Amino acid sequence: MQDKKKIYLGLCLLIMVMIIIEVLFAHPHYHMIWNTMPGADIVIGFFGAWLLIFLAKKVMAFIQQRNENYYNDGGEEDAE
Amino acid sequence: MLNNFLQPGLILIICGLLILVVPAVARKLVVLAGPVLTLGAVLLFESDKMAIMFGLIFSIISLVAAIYNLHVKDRFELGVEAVYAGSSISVVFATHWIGLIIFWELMAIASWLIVVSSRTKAASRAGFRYLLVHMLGGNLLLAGIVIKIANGSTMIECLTGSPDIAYWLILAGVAVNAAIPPLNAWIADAYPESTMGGTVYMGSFTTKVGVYCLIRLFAGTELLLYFGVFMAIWGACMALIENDLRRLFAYHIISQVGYMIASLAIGGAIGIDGASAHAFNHILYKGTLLMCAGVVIAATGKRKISELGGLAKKMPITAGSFLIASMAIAGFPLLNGFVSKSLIMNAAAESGQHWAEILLMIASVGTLMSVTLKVNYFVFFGKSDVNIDVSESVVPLNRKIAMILGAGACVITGLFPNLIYGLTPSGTDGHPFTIDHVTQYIQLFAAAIIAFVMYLEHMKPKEKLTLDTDWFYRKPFKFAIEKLSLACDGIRRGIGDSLGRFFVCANKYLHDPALLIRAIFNVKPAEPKDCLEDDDVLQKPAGWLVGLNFGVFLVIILFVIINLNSL
Repeated sequence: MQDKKKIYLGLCLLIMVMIIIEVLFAHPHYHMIWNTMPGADIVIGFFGAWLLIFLAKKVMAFIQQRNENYYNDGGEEDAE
Repeated sequence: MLNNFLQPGLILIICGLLILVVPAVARKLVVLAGPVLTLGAVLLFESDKMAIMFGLIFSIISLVAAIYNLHVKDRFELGVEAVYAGSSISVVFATHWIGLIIFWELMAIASWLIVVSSRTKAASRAGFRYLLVHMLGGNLLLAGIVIKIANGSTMIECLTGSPDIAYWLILAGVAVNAAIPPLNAWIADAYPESTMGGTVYMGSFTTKVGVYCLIRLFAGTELLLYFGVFMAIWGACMALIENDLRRLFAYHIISQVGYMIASLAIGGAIGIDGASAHAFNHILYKGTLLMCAGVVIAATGKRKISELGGLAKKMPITAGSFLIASMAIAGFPLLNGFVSKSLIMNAAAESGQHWAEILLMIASVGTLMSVTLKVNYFVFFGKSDVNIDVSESVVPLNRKIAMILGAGACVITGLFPNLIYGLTPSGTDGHPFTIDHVTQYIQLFAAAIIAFVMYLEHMKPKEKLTLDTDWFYRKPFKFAIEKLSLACDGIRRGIGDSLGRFFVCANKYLHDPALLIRAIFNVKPAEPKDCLEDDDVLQKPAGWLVGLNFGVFLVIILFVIINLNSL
């Protein structure tokens, strides 16, 4: 838990430094909101990650995962 | 036409055949000489920039994979690997449809032999399914090519914007090799069952040859953009839940090929350059990742992430090489994945496909979580309850050298992006090291790492099998075929039994036609007489002959009646 807090703190600091650099020095080539608004990539990164975790771990795992011997076709140890 | 056969790939094919026959002393020399000579030939060969770029990276990875496999004693495995690499390079340099299909089929057969060369039952079954799928793809491509040639088009040409039957057949055939869903399942089915070195070869060639052909034939096809973006996200999601190390990388191949397909679908100079550059870089970091995974599996005897852990201290070279390649695949600045992803993102933004730009950014986050974070944490660097007694000293020196070469190539091409941009067909500069590009990726990844750490407990893979589209031909299709076979067998048996009964019955009446009269008119049989006519030897053939005559007579009468009007 303590390790997690340290990681969060370090990453938040890094993000803040990046936002400051972006505000001061960046000259976006494209003009959509995620190109021009400082820190927009943080929102995409965090919610994108959350969405993929939800999709993979809750939806796809529920639909697609079965027991390992589902196909019952030998497996890795049945060398001829 | 002759140029389709006299090109650099032929050197590797000949070397592959030589490996099968030369004595063990000379084998290593041939294994190394093949890719080196091919690399030289590619540099000297006259062709367009894209073919040279793909030929170059295929030769480089052949050399690295040959070094990785240098200690292997199985001449069959080494031989088919060289033939496979050579046929892939030959597809790249083919200019005639006939040359393309010949080397395409040779590639399919050689790659199937690589799968089965691990000599396990699972590999044999996966290889059979692999061969079925690729023969289907090859035949679709062949059908399209036959139509093209019949229409007078003998040279390979861009097909974008001419959607006739040949177009769709060729697209379907190439889509099999590029693992476009739903034709993707062979990749996660067959690659993990191959040998360690074989997986490095297969991860580098088949799908990238598919991408090369898609660039050549279908660049700018908007339909492919939807497939590409879907592949990029779906592959990353599958990798997130996958437990088998090599299956995980198989899904990552699909995800990364999705980027390439999205880029070539956007088209234009920047889209084509983005796809080509990403294929080039992908071969380098994916090759390194597969080499590291192979080393881990060979050293520990385990292939499931849930059975591995804490290997960084025990296998530092492997862990270091893996870390670099896994950061490259996610697109960390200063590594080669960042260089080519910048081109692809620029292509999406410039073409106005903003939805694709956002979704590809999210797919990058998926790659980061499923490879860079998940595998590094659960296999190499994280705290683990699993205690595996292993040391890197068991890893052959040539494999360590190959991993270091692969990781080094990811760094060099990342630090000097013009090495890659200079090779691309139009030489587009992606300007990767601008402040907005770099800060964008660092913010994206930092936020994703926070989400990953928040859900760390859920990220550990479960010991489960993840179903893919191969389920359709491994379960319902198999069930349907079994039932169809049973039905056919039942019909065959039924017809056979009925015919048998008919002949027994017919035999009885032909033997003594009077029996039929007696049976119809209920006449009592006459007293048996001891005479010559009762002898079977004479009566049976005569009875059948009479029956046959009667049958022919009936047919003639029927014919006459039917054609009465026209006679």
